Parts: sequence; structure tokens; C-alpha cells
Amino acid sequence: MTAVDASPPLVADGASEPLLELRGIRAGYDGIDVIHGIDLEVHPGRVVALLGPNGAGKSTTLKVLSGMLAPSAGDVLVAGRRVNGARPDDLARRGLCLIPEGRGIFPNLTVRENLWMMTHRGRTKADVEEQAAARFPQLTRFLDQTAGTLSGGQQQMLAMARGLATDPALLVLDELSMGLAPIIVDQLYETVSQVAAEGTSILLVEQFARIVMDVADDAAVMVHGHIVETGRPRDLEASLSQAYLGG
Amino acid sequence: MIENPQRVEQFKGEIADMRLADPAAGRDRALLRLGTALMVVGVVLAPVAYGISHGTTNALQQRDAQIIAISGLIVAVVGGALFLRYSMAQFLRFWLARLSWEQQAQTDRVVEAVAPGTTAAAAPSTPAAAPATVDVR
Repeated sequence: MTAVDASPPLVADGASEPLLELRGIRAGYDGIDVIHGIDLEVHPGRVVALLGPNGAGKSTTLKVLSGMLAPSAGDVLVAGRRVNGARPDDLARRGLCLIPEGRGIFPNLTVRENLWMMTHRGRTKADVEEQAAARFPQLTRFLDQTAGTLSGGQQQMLAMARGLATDPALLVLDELSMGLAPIIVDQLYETVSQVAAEGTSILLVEQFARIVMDVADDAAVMVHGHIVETGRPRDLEASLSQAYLGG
Repeated sequence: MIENPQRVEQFKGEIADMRLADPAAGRDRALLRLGTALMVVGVVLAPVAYGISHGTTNALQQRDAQIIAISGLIVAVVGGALFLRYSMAQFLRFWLARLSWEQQAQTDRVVEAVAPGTTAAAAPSTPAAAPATVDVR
């Protein structure tokens, strides 16, 4: 398998307008591009996995689509509108929710206070707490505990509970499984499956590809800043092996 | 594929209504640099004005130096305001949010102490914030 400059766009079966579309995105740091003209689409109700080894440019792609990093070329379209230059908080407020690698919780606030931060879409504090408890009953035991003292799995649950409390239209998850025990990862992906079943569009970024095989509808393999293959997750296993092992 | 058409339509509507920043948004950075430059210029003008004033016995020139010094002061203040606006705005916004949250929590604690049970949903979360520690007498 060879890297292609113009990566094939990931298109779902349906003819619906993509909720998220990246067109010819180039981006990087200090003038050096680390993603080189990628195309990607996430259609309503689909779960798309962006897979690839460490350093492929997956997290940089997420930074671009969430407004945290300006692309040097190309267009980011959200719900059909070009949003290059949109502020990350503007996008988040409207329903593009990114749960970043490293969870992005406030470690010095309690679990309850972390949840309260998510009332910006008009939900009450009690409502947010109730929803978090329904999704992750384990968290209710730690509501008054400082979030930084939770285990990695509990912190990831809190991060997801916070993200889901905003009722996202498009949920973007960066390395959900990072540093977690397999049993916790399974629990988290079970929740991801539930959220997907409720109709939320999801873009998953994972280094450990096998985890998302059963969850994702579509997948794209990213290597060295290029999307080298797209398709159904099961059809990409050979490409994934090559992507991770080189060759 | 399962869709949630209502949420998708709402999302599309909200994105369509979103105000986008000017793509030529190097403006903020330029104004930050302008603010810094004005502060420096303002500060430099003060010793310059002193030098002019000190180096002459001509009252007219000394008055000119006073005007230069006051102009320098104004330039420095304007530069400081620009610098504050474009460098610390994010930090101050977060600080203000934290301050208002703490004030709300404090109000809840006082209300809870005066009339227990009225703020059950928003009960204070930290031990230090327990109603027993609040003396309202």
C-alpha cells in the first residue's frame, strides 16, 4: 500500500449532506505541515473511525475540525457551512463536542463542579447530574471528590459524561482508550455504542484499531498525514496491519 | 444508520446562524503589538520630555516638553488598554466566570443557612462550604 496525495473521501451510503466535511486540509505547526491534504466526511447518524499509528496526524486533524488549529489550506465544513476561523467554543456551544486526548477535565474542581460546567446549552445543574448518573452510575459515588484524584477510567467517564451532557450533534473522541484497562475501555465503548444508537454522529480517533471495529460504520486509515484507505472497518484490516508495521 | 433528524436540523440551524470571525483575524495580534509599541513609546517620551525641559531656560520650550510628556502618558495609557484587551481578555473572562460562580455558591450557602432545604439541588459541595460553617447572625 502506498500513500496517496489526494486521499479518497469517505462517503456514506446515504446521500444526506455530511455533518462534517474536511476538504483538502493541510495543517501543521511552525510552518511545517503534518497533514497533507486530507478529505473526510461524517454523515448524520454514522460512526466514523480515524485510525492510524502514533504520529499519523489524527489528533492534529481533530484540532483543525474543532477550531483549535487553523488549517494552512483546505476547508472545514460543518453542516454544510465553511467554518474556517470559527472559534472552538462557538462550535462546541452549537453541538460539536470534542473529548480530547487526556480527558480535558478540570482536575481541581469536584466531579459535580465539572458537570456543572456543561450547563451552557440551557440545562440545569440537576439535569446534567441526573444524566451523568444514568450513563455512569459509578460517578455518583464521587460527586464531591476532586476530579484530579479519580482513576484514569473514572476521569474518562467524567469527560464523556460532561460531553454528552451538552447533547452533541457530533461527538468527537480522541484516543478514548489511552492508558486504560481493557475492561474499562469495553465499558466506555459500550456507552459510545449506546450514544451512536441514539442517533448521534461520532468521529472516533484511535491508535488501537481493533477496539473500534465493532462500533464504527466507516473507517479511514491515516499514515504520515495522508488518509491512505477508507471503507468498512473489517475491510481495512490488511491496510491497518501495513500502516502499523510499515511497508 | 440511525439518525436523529430533529437534532441534526437544530445543529444545522445553529451553525448557519453562527457569526464567524473575520478571516483576516490577524487584527487581534496586530492590535496587541500596537498596544505594546504604544506603551514603550509613551514611556520613552517621558525622559525625552524631561531632557528637553531640563536643557533649556526657554519657558515656551518647557511648555512644549510638558505637552510631550502628557501626550506620552496618554499614549502609554491607550497602549496599556489595548494590551490588556487583547492579551488578558481570555484570562480575565475566566476569572470573572469563576468569581460569579463563587458568588452564586456563597449566596446559595447563605440562603441554605437561613432557610434550610430551599437550595437542595444546588447544595454546596465542599466540606468548607457546609451550612454549619456559615454564621449569619
